Amino acid sequence: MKAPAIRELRRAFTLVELLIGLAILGMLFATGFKAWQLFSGQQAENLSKRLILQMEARKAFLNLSKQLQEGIEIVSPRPGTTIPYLVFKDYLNNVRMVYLEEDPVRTRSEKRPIYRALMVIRDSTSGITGQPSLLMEHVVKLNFTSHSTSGILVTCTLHGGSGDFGLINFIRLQNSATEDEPN
Amino acid sequence: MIKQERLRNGIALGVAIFILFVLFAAGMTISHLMHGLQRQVEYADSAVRAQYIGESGLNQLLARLQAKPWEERWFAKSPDAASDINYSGGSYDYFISDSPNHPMHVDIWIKSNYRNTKRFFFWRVKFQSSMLSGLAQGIPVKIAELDSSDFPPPGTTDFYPMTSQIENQLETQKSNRGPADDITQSLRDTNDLHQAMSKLGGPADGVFVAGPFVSGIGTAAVSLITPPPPPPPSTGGLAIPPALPLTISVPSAEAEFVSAPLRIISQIDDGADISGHGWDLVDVINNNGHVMMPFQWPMIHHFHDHGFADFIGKIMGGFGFDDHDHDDHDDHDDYSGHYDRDGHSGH
Repeated sequence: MKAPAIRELRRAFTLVELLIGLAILGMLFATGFKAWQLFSGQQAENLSKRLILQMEARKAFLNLSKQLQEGIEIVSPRPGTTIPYLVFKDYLNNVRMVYLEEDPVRTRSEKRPIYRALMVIRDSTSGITGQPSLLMEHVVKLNFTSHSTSGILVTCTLHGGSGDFGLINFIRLQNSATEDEPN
Repeated sequence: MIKQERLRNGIALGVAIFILFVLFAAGMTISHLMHGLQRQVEYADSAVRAQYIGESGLNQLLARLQAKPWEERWFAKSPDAASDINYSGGSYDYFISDSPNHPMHVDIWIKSNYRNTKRFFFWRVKFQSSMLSGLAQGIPVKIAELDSSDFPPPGTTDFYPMTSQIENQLETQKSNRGPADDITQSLRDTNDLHQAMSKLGGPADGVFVAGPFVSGIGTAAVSLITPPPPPPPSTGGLAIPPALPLTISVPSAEAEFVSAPLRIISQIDDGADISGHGWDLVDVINNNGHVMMPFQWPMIHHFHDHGFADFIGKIMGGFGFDDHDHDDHDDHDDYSGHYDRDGHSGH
């Protein structure tokens, strides 16, 4: 009476069941391996570098945008021109210049020109130009295009992780009417 | 037989736990990956929404202000303030008063709130007296963003410390204007970074990028990529820079008309003015204090035929103006370039 029950217990998986099971397991292993590789290996480093760089670049860009928005006038580039540096009068009529300087260490390690964006401020009261301050690193390209003295198009490419990414922003100066209108 | 059955059960449980673990790990991985991105997007979204709420508050106040003649403004006797005005999922607080020592100027302070983001804006808006009060336009002459924690608590009616801070900034700006103009005039004449750096007194050493980046090629020595449009508006006594090498040449007779983009809001010496902002709204011309008579309206047709700037140029030329522009298409960006009535000013 117990023999049929024992035979049933001994019955193994069919070939189809095995193949399906193996396929599911294979996919799970592959997913797990990819996730592990992503967050523990070189890719994780590249990804986090890139994310951090993007966040930092965005912060730097916002910082520059805010200073520009409060500015009075774009001095260089002249309307209709594109150049890799920017001169503008800030809200106190100090003259600021944003420009690129080659980063020798990163240029050597990346085997391509990598720049830093710096800013110098000339205090109009004292006539003294201060030391450059760092705005952005990992810059590959930075162009400023002007169509009027009250707005500037900024296009920027940065190198992060294993690739490049770009930022583009049109910044309008909000205080450009200040000097035109006698208070 | 019983032993075999138990073994099989054990394998099934292990496999199930393993699968659950892998699924959990995958879920956590995706969640972790998305979390940072989501926070960035939420932060940016809140900042922009808070800004728009603040600018909407400004527009609401300006609309209310322009609904009546200047003399009947509701805060003429004492400043007005309000808190927690709900708007578009957020709220704003405002304080509005006459600018001290500046007739026909209004100081507007607005703190906007959206979720956890707070932003604090200041606008000083200048109003022009106009024959028709409904056409009077406010021109922001000073815009600033301040630290939101500096906004005084509700009920405060004294913004003097903050106003004096703004006044100091404007005073410094005014006193710096001469030296700044001197240096920027020479900087305007060059597109060479090394020359500009030398004139500015910046660092002389270092490897600088002097030419613009050209897509896919690297740097190029080309400094001018498009023929320049007419020169920028005058910034108060600055001479117009000399023509660039590739400037489109204009006949000398018309050169005067491209000296600066047209600015309609201009003071006339005897106190009368020509006011107008939207080009389609300029249908009344204050002709040296007298309303233009009907027989003079054919000049308007001249505007339609030959361009508004040309038309205005002829009128203003009669008054001794030099603010002319041959290109009326770009003129629209003059004051709207400084201030967009919708409050979305280029960011």
